[in-house]
Parts: sequence; structure tokens; C-alpha cells
Amino acid sequence: MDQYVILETIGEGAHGIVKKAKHIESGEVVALKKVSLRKLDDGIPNTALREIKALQEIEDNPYVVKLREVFPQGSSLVLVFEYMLSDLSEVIRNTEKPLTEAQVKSYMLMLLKGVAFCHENNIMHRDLKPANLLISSTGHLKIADFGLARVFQNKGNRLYSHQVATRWYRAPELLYGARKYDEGVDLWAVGCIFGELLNYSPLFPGDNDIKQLCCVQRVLGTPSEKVWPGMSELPDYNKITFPENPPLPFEEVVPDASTEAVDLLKRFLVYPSKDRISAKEALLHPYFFTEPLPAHHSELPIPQRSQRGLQRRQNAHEYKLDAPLEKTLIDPDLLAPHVVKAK
Amino acid sequence: MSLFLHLYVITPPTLSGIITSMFSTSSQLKYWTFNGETELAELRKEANQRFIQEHESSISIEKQAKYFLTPGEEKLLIRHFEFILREFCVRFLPPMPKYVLGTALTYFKRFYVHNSVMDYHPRDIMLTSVYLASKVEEFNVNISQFVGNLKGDRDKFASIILGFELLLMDKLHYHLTVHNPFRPLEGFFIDLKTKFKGVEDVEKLRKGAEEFLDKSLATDACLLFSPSQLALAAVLSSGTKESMNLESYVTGVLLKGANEDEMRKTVYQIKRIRYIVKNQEPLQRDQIGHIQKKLEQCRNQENNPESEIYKRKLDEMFEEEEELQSKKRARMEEAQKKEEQLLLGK
Repeated sequence: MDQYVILETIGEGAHGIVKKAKHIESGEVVALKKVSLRKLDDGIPNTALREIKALQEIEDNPYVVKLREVFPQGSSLVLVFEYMLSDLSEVIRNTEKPLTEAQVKSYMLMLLKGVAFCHENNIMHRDLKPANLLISSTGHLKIADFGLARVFQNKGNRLYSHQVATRWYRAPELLYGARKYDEGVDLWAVGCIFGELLNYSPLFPGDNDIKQLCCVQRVLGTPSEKVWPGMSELPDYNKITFPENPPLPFEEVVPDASTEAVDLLKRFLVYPSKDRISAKEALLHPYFFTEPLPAHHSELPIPQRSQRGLQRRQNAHEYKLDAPLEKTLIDPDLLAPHVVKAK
Repeated sequence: MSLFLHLYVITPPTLSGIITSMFSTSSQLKYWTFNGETELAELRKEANQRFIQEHESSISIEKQAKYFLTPGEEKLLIRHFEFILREFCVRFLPPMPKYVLGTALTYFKRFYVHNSVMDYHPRDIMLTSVYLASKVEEFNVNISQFVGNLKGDRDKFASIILGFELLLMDKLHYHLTVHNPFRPLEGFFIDLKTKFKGVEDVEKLRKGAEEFLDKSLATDACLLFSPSQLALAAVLSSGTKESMNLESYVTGVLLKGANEDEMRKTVYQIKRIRYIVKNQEPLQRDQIGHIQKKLEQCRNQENNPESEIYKRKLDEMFEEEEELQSKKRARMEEAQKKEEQLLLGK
């Protein structure tokens, strides 16, 4: 710890505080993720172990955030990452001008390279979403937050938890409670992120698990054993039935997208996981080779991280529409002591 | 040993790149695969010497040998606790998968390559190794379920385990991924069944091969060889037992296209493994009591959870953190006050 000077608190992550710091010797700016173990009944949390496990075994990759080192500090564990200025959710939310097609292509290219690298190393991320795609000061995109990452094996006898991935980006098999799944869950999430970049708003913004399925079905149509073999064996298949609904043409879902973009999007967002286009294959899709070509990273927006950016980000999608009106108002009495009275 | 051997020659062809998750770039190969038993013995001796040098001041030279453990005694004690570790895992409820045992044992062995049992008691590290391995291998049991498998003061065990978890991980240099030989073994069975016509009933090899791997756990093999080499040695040893000739599988299928040098190296490695596994020394239980008594005298009390000094150290650490926290709180309150004053124009 003596090797670092703390610069500021960036925010609060799922299991601890994240601080911006400087490595004294090299002058490099880093993000310190501190996991306090004192109040944890079962010791080091699995999420931290998975993150360390996944990131310790892979070699450096420009599209995966680098774990520089890990060390204990008292009864805490500190993970040192390279510092990243912002993330894709902020880019989508804060950039004044809409992203150009070339810029979207560039982000997709970096995302797919990162995902292809993880999958080649048998790591499924399981929680891909714009907030986990960090943006460096040079505009590069890097995949972060491997707290849910699992090393997968093809023999496929292990059962996994289906309560993974943030809802909007959660693959349909997970929504149906599947306990055996594969890296296809990441490819679904990539499709959702792609759609969000094209539309500037989330593709499937369900506010609970049932509505999430509704959102997906409104676009992909009601699934059947014919388009999705094996679906009737999923744990929650019988728990929910939806009215028959035909699929929507993707051209209507992403109205401003080019033909190639629509075609690529379609290849990610299909019900059967094994039919989703792999990251490696997707990198060869004509989308990336037709004009306008992917933008250079210097042509990408670099939003400044607003203060308390992280805290706000976590709450950003938590607006409760059905909260009583009086609760959303500010109580003038609470404000009174802070009001500067005009003389 | 050549890297090539690890990477290519021994990986069962049907599995390379599919199931085996990158042993070639693993931390296991890079940091935790040693040249031979001589190197291991050397490193362990260094750890032993380091401890003695740090703690010898109070003791005259003549008494040293009597007071401290010798490298040989350390080795006996470590092997004794490895045995207990395996028994503990085998009897664990709910039943524990083999690879959790393998990972736990590997953690334990790696820990004592660079550390002396006089610094950290093998009982503490053994329990912590199994607990950490369970988590890393996603064999999910919480701490109370875990210590439920132990007899005695369970709360004490729980606090020991949680107290050493971070230390263990640090001493393992956060290299948590362990490649066990169990999966490559399955790979060889598949390979034999699909690519080799010379054997009728491949499953006949299973029992002998699994027994061989179980036996190998009592040796340092996992610190010296790649998991696929161990698995191959297991298959070949079982083949010998069942009088099945697998030579043409090795030369004609597995190593097809390899040059003579590679072939020779592989054969040599397999021979080494079989020798080490077959010729392991028996545990010397009659000496354990004496060694443990000696250990109670010479062990580092700072790392003994039952010593006063350990408890004091822990309390101090917590107090320090508490103090830091309250200082921080005070600072924040101060800052807020100032801001308020500024706002109110006082």
C-alpha cells in the first residue's frame, strides 16, 4: 500500500470502495478496489476470487482490463487495476452528439475482440453490460468486472446459477431458469449492447424478470420448440405462458441501422444459444468491412467521469415509477438550514 | 524440461483447446512447476534455514538442532498432514468432488515450498487450503457447514480458517487456478475409445488409473509434472496391470508425427512419474508425536491463533482500522461543517 498515493474515491462497487491512486514509482494512475473482509461471515467473497482467478490466468489483452496486482492490507484485500476514465454507459448517456456509425463499429470491434479473447481462454463473463465496458483516456474499450466470470468446460455437467447478468442483458435461457448454459449468454449480451448503441436506448428494458421475457418476446416472437429446441425442458418453462406473438422485423427494431448492422444484430439475438454467432466469427462479418469503416480510437468520445459517477450509475435505472408523488418531492424544511438568506 | 513437452506432445488431441483451459500459459506451469525433487528439497531447506536464522538469537548453536525442526522432520510432518487433508476431503459431507481435493492439496504443497511449518502450523494451513479450494472450485459450502465436518471447537476452527485465508492466498501469489490430472484422464479415455483400435474395453483401465492418481497425490508429482503427463502415466500404469499393450497408442496415435527426441523425453518423463509414485516412502507415524511436541516449542507464536501475541496482533490491527475509520469520519464531519458555515455565510 505504501507504493500508492490515494488521489480520490471514485465510487462504491459491489464489494467495496474503489479509489483512484497513483503508483509512486512508475507514476501510473490506477484504480484500487478494496474488499473489506471484516464483516463477511464466509471470508473472501466468491466474486473477488473469481475475478482474481480469471484475470490471473490470462495474458495481457488490450481489450480486457488489466489486474496489475493483488495484496492484503490489514483485514482487507486490495485489487489493483489500470485506471479507466469512464465506461460505455456514460458514453451512451452523456455524449452530446449521437455516435456515428463508424464509432459504433469501433466499439463493437473492441468489444468482440475482448469477448473472443475471453472465450478462447474458456472464460465466460456472464455480466456484460455497458457499465462493465470501461473506456480509457485514449478511447479504448476494455471489458471489466469479472466478478461473475466462470471458467467453463465443455463437458457441461456442472450446474451454474441462473441469477447472473444484469436483467436487460440476460439471455432468454437464463430468464427461463437454465442452470446449464454456455458462453452464448455473453453473445446475447453483446447483441443487446449492440442494439443499445444503434438505438441509443436499451433494447429490452424489462423492469422485472417477467417483463424482461415480454420485452424479448415482443421482438423475437413467442418461442416454440420448433425455433428453440429444448426450451420446454427449461426449469421455468411451464411457469409462464405468453400469448402468441409473431416476431418483429429487426429493421423496425433498429430503424436507423444499416443493412449489415441489422444482419449482424440478428445473428446474436436468437433463442438457441448455440445458433448465436461466435465473437470470433462476428469479427469477420461484412459489417466491419463496409463503409464507413470502424473509427480510429482517437475519434471516439472520452467523457469525463463526473464526480460520484459510480454511485449515480448504480442508481440510474432504479427510478420507481409507482412511488407516491409526495415521496419524490423535496421537503422544504430539510433544505431550510442550507439556504443562504438574502440580506 | 522443454516447454514443448507440456504444450503439445502430451495433450490428448481430441481435447486440446476444447476442454483443457490453457495449461501452456498457466501460472501453474510458469511459477509452480519445478525441475525435480532436488530443487524442491533445496527450496524447502532454504525456508527451514530462513526461519531458524530469524529466530535463533535466543538459543545457543548446540541446542539449535534439538530445538528447531530439521528439514527432514518438516517433510514428515507435512506428509502427515497431507494424509489428514486427503482423509478429511474424502469424508467431507456433502461429498466433495475429486478436483476440490486435488486443488486443496496443491495449495497446501505449494505453500510449504517456500514456508516452514515452524512459521505456520500445517493444521491451520490444511484447513484453510481446503476451504479456499472449495470456494475457488465453486463447491459451495458456507463456513458453518464447512466446520461442521470437524470435531471440537468449531467456532475456533472457523476463526482460524478466516484468519489465514488472506495469508494463504498471498503466499500462493494469488495463483488460484490449479490444473488437476482428473480431466486429462477423462480425455485419454475418450481418445482411446475413439482413435485407438488396440484395446477392447477401455473402461477396464479406469480403476487402475484412478488408483494411480490417488497414489500420486501423496507425492510431489503435482509440483513436477503437467497434469496430462500424470494422467498418461496413470493410463499406462493401469495398462501394464491389465496386461493391455498401449505402446502403439502412444507411438502411433498420441505422439504421431513427433520426432525421436520428443518421443524419448516423453517416455522418460512417464518413467520418472511411475518411479516416484511407486517408490514413495511410507508415513512414519511413530515419529509424528515427537515432532509435534518439538513444534509446539519452536513455532512462531505470532502466527499461532491460540497465543496471546497473535490475539494481541489481531486486536491491534482491528483497532488501527477502527481508528482510521473514526478519523476519516471526523474529517468528513469537519469538512461538512466548514461547507455549511460557508453556505450560511458565517
